[in-house]
Amino acid sequence: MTLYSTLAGSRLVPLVLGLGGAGCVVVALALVFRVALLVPWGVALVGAAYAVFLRLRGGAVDSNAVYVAVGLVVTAEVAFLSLRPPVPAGDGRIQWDAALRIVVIAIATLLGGGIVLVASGASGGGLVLEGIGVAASVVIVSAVVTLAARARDSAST
Amino acid sequence: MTRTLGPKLVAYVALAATALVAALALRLQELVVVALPFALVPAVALLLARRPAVDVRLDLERERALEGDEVESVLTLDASGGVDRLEMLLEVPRGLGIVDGRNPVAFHLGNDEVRPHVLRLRCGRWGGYRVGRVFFRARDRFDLVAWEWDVDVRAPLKVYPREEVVRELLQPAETQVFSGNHVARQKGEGIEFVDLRQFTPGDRVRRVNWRASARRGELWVNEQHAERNADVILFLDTFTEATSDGGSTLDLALRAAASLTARYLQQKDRVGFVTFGGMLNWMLPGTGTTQLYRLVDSLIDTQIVFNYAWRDLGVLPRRTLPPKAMVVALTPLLDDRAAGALLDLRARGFDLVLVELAPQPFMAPPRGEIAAVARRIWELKREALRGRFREAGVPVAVWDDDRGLAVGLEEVSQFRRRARVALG
Repeated sequence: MTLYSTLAGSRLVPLVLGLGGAGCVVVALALVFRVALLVPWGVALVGAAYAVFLRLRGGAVDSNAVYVAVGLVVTAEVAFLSLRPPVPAGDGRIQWDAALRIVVIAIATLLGGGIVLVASGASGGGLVLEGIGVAASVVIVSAVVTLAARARDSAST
Repeated sequence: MTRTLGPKLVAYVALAATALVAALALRLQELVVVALPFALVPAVALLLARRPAVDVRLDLERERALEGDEVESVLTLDASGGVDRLEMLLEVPRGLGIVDGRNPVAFHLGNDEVRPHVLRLRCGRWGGYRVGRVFFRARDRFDLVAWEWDVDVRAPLKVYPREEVVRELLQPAETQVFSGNHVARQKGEGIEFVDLRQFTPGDRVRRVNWRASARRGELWVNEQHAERNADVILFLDTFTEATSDGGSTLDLALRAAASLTARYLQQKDRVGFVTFGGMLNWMLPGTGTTQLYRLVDSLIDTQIVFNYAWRDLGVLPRRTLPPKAMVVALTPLLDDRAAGALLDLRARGFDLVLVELAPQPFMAPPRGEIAAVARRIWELKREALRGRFREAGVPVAVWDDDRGLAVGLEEVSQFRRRARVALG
């Protein structure tokens, strides 16, 4: 994300690079010294670098924002996962649960981000982004229906 | 059950809020996309989070074991509502260890799933344990909310000390009135020949010594030593102990006490015990297998309780030390109160045997010249104390793990034999 913000922008590159680099260093320190409190600060600094890049860039909505969002959330998930106290797994499923969760969150972010970008009228995403937006709508409606059904079941029991 | 919100939840909500505020302030729609996952994940997680309902049961393979044995324990989890990630830790008391099985361990439990988890425990040290305090931590699917609780399903596990090899038991100086395996000083019904005397009305014909009667022209009968039992009191000094990673003097005392108890009870003797220290404990002398279990069960509850109070024999109930009992004292000779009480016991006429549990193997070697001199002075003081006991007619056997209890008891027997020769 830092590289993208740095390479795609043309103004105040050292500031963007500095912010993004500081974010990476903070996340690395959080992992080395096992301080969970530092992880959001690192993610926020990388996000700040992206915000500065966007502010300086101007123009149309950046269609790559959805990938930046996926990158940030996956980074945060992996960082928190590695900071969790290690407990040996008693079965095979528990070992794959975390990886599966990260994949699901990444896909959900792609879909949700796509909806927001489509709704905001971002251009330049092309047919792929339009497709993601439509798929996201379907998934969100399905999720809402599922949650409503589950809530009704739990209320009746 | 305690419900806690993890640092990840706080971080995600803060990141989402910051990104949304920045999106508004800077008029950047892209930051809404960036905020989206950080807002959605906590929202969905809190919506789906369910309070876990897990029942747990503990089954121990057996309730009694010997030092060094392995005991299988099965923790059976029954999740009525299902748990995405359940972390479990069985509290293992000090003295026990786990040789097979994972502890702590994490599971995924489905709805109404019953899952057994097997742990193999090694009984490292004697003692009365209660195994079965289990700590749980359940996490939701997104690892944002955690529930922590503990369950007490403790079951008793008694670990008995391993037996020491005892080739020959100490013979008590005095016997009691009930029949047993010891040859008494008194004359009576028995096997060991002691003397001849003239026949008196009432004597059994089978006791007539026909050869002596024929030689003297009148009836003479044999007299035998009676075979009686004895009272043995095990006196454990629990004021203090020398301890290291490899064990302690109290371990030696318990192993010796358990071994001697079993052997004397096999000989139909009455055995009791007194633990004399910061906490007093005693059991009146008795005989039989029941007494063996009662004694060993009580012995494994023995512990060192630090206490400054001066204790003498006056605090002991009179019946715990019956007259003519042989008192076998198991002591590291580290506390003056125990030494004083034992000398007092001897002065009251008890047949006292001192088994000194050598504390030196449990101590670090002296470092430096001053420490070496201090150690030598300490050794000399101990030797002087042993001398006081020997002067009082008390045999002292020094026992450490290398020599074995049998060697120490043999030394005591030799001391007693020499003492008899000297007296004669």
